[in-house]
Amino acid sequence: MSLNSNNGKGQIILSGIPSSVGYSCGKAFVIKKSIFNSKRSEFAENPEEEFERFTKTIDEYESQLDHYLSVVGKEKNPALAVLNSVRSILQDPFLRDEIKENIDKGYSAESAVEIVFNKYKNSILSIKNRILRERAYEIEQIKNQIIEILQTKKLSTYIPEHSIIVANSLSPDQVIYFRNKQIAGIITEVGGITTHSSILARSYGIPEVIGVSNATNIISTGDEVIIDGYKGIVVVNPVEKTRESFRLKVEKEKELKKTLGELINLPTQTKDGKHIDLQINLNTKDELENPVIYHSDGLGLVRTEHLVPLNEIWNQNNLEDSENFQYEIYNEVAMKMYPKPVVFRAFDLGADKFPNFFDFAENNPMLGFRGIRLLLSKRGFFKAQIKAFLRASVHGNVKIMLPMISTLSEVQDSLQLIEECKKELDEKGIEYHKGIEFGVMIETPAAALIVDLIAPYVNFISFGTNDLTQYTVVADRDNSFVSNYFEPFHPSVLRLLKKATDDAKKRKVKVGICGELASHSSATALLIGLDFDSISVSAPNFLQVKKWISEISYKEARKKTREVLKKASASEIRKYLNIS
Amino acid sequence: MVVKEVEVINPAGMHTRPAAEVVKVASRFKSKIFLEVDGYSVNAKSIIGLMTLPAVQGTKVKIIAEGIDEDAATDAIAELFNKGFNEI
Repeated sequence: MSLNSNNGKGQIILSGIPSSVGYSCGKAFVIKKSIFNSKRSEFAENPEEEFERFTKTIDEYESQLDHYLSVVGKEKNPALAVLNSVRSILQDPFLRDEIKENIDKGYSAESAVEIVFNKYKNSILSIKNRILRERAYEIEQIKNQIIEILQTKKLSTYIPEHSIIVANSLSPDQVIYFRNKQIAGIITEVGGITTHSSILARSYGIPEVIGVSNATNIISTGDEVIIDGYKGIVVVNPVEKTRESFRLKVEKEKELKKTLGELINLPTQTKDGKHIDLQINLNTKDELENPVIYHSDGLGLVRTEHLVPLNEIWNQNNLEDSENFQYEIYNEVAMKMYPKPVVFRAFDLGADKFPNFFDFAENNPMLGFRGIRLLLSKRGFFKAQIKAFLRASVHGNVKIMLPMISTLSEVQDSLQLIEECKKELDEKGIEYHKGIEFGVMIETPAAALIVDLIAPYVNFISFGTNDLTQYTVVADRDNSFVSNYFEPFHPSVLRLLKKATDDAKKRKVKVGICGELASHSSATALLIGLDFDSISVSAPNFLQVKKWISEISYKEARKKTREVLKKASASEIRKYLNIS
Repeated sequence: MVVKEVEVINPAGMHTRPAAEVVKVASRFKSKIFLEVDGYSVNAKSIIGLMTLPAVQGTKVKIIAEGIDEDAATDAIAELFNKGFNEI
């Protein structure tokens, strides 16, 4: 008996990788890996009979896929694509031929399937890229499924509703099957966050923790299990105190979901069907527990100077520790959001943000040593952050954004620095997403007026309207004496937005906004009229802005924007847009 | 024989769904069609073969076709790559 055995029925806490968010509790249902005993049936006497067993098994598997397809419906959903890709593997004529060849050599159907699938699995495992390697799990799953049907003739056993499934790993069709059984959660021993089964668990909102080693041995069917899909924690046979604190969390989550209502599941689009990416600005890790985040189109701005506890960065012994420390944080955010995009903005320090970390004093910090200026002067510090971003990009959903750009050379220097970082990672054999996208904040008039020059170097730009406004109208946003000068609807601000957007669009650079301007209904119309691809707002404003977007027509918004751009003053614009 | 080099441009690379698309298109042609990355080549009509191809964003892929409709076949598959498998 293993030391971890649970016969004592005490509380056990296991940790893994959070793969699909949500809290859940229920009785465990453990699926033991059916181990194929190759010695018993490695060879078969009658190849024709064996091949027929194999083709019948594939037919059975396909008819089960048909059944799932009829359940998931024809609408565009991830399950449909997944099921079809499983089917196309089953129908691969070359795969069948190879299996037949092996059966003709005298192998049993099970052995032939093992031999051929393992060959492909091993060549996938030899791929350098970690994400592509995750496909090996999918091949392994399909193989296990075929062997299971070959041996038992049926796909899955009876599973009581609201069970928490505990398995070595799951195939996508198993996830779909279990979802129809109303399961409460999934725990697996292996798997990756980019595999089909993880993507499906996320799209179905089934809490899932993966990478919990030895779970199928530690947990027994019937054990009470709590899953925390936000933190990747599994509690087996919780004591009363754990149960109580968990109940509170579940209640809170339920209430939040209720207030989100129906709108949350609809795509973000205008009345006449133009899609807008509606994203969220993230400041702290706690916000990752807000379910609304997972219904957005990604994180349009992660303010890393808030996300990362800066005190701890200064306390790290060296830059490498600092990089590792940051990587853990960024990677967690990227994995939780996967496959949705996450835009990490490099530290925007200086000015009003944490000036005391740097040993200099400025008379006018807002016009001083801040944002990219500061980063480029502290190259080691900057590179540690960039390398942490790159390492967290390995799943393919991370983008890098730079703050407070005012000249082209800042963009060029930063790109060169990123290239250096990539090279250093290459030398160490550390993986990252080679096609990682790169963009800049447009929050100074100096940058807004040279978007045409910046465009060739970037994949996207994002406006920060607070700073853009204060630098354009020359009014400190925090100075009450000039607060009535701080006017985002000043024609000059809107003209800058218009020119910069047009210049970017002409060069196929994506345009977004992550400032607070978006949180007024009429301003939303204006942003749609200006042709922004994405709008990023703080989580509490998300649903309201989504509602506004659904009530506007793109055509009207265009017209409104043209009118607004003709107005001579902010007060005229506010009057026209009905903004008090 | 026709050889054409293309680049994977969609961010997710050639994962399972694009591989299925390639098979669908390739199977319409009589020619033998192979995709090759760094000297490693797989049959474009076999999805499980394509899944072993290390084709991430930015990877250069050679399309090699031989047969009576080799030109049309290479063009059709090149188009799939150039469209980013309709993912961008």
